[in-house]
Amino acid sequence: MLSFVIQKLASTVIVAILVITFLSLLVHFVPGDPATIILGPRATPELVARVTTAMDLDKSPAMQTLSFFGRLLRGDLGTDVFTNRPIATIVGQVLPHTVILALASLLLAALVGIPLGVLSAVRPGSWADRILSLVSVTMVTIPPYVSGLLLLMLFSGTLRWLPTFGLGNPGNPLDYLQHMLLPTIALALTWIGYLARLVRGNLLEVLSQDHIRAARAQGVSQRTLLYKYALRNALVPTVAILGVALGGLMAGAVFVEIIFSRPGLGTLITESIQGRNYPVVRAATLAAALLFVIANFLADIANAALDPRIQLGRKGAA
Amino acid sequence: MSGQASARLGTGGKVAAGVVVLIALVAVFAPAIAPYPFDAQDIPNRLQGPSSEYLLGTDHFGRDLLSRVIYGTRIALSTALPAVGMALLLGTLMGLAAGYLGGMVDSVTVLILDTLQAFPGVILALAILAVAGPSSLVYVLAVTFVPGYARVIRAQVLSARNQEYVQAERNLGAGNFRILFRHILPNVVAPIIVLAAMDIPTVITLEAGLSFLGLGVPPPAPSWGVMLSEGFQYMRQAPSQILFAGAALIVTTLSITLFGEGLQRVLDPRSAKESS
Repeated sequence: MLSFVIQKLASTVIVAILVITFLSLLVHFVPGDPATIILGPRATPELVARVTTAMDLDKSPAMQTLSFFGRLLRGDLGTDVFTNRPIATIVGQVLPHTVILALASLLLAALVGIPLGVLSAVRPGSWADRILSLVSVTMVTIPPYVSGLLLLMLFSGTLRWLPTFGLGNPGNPLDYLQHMLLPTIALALTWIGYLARLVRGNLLEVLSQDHIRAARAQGVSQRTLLYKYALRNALVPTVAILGVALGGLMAGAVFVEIIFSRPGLGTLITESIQGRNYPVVRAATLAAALLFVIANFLADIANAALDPRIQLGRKGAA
Repeated sequence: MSGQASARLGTGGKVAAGVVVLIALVAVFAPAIAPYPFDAQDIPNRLQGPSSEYLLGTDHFGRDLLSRVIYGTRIALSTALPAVGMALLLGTLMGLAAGYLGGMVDSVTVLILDTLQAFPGVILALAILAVAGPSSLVYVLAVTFVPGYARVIRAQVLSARNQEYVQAERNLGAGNFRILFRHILPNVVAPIIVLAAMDIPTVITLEAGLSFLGLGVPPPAPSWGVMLSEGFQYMRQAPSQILFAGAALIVTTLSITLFGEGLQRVLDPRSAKESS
């Protein structure tokens, strides 16, 4: 197990380094001079010069990347030219809201999606299964911005049970949770569908295996078979995609945050793109990517701990 | 179509295929079907509900929503199809090179793919769009979807490389090029077509999402994402725009997805069984 963890950690670190390099070089794809574009056509030459130096645009690309790494190690993402605040602080302030929203949606998706998947797998091919399959594939195809807009319409107009705007009172946890409910549902919908489909497929596969058939032949009840023997094995591959799910949810959060006016990474990235504020875009996308890379690493480790075959590199070997 | 293939496609797959054909026809013949041009304004009749003059009502410029939804089909497909085509082509070449040549080429390719896939979904597209601008939308979408194809092809090439038929062909003196394109590539066509069919709805959703954020197709072009964004602004006065644009988006992506799943059962029954 230890060698597996070290091996995974090494590849995770390499990917993280590549992501940082990629983002540090991305600004070279800006058509024209980035500093001028950030500041707009009416900026003074002095200001342009200052931003050019601050962004290391006067150095060679290789030096820029090295300098970016150096600052990153000290937790320095530069200073925002518009507000003069450290970019690390700006990102750090909104990041928790996005992470909490994504985790809450993941929890909701698991709580609803897994039972739905089990329900379909109990009687495969039945009407209940067919209807649930159509419902789950529909949920997968409804993008979070459409579900978000529909929920917003429903609750800001017709029903007024839930707040639809902002984060709520920061000092009041109950208010925060209430404000989070609709965004969480909007975001979770896609993954409820995914998890239901995944669990159904895994469960049907496990149920067709020899040890289950042997147990059934010995008179073990269908109930025990399903919940005690099969479900455990069927849920292991589900753990592997939790990392991917968290990434998908962080991506979907971009839209949900805009619709429900929630501060977060998505709102920050979108606003910074519109303001051509490249350093903030870079810092915020970096935070999202690094979180995703770490989540995948943890999911891989958890999955390998649950299924020792994976440690031996025989994933999927029966 | 043979009876077996037809049976595998299933009723759902056939219905979906019919809807997909219909959607494609709407996209191609949009100017003939739409009652008005997508940008014809009628300010006195702005934000109207459905009427006999405007079947689905009008938006904040008094533009006919039905016509905009119809033209939106054209925008969705004319963005998604080239993007998926480009991703498929580039991904296939990368996967073939990595899987067949191995060594450094393979290592570097895998590192590039890992880096691209380290970004959660839309975030990679946002990072590139931020610097490259909305005019590069199709390329950005293509880059986002390259890794899927490259990985599938690479895995298939790796497993085919040591198959006996390939070994035999090599012993008979076939060159790399012949082995790759005559013997390995035909075997990976089916999974790639299925992947492309499944990617098209995802790309459509992503394009609409980016357009919703104001970073994709620029207005006045009636991308469904643009319509959702404008409907969002005028949600209180005229909620219908969100409903119609959202419905068009969902019907399109759902029918292509169901068609793709049917296609998978026909072309690639083994993996269809594994994944269903």
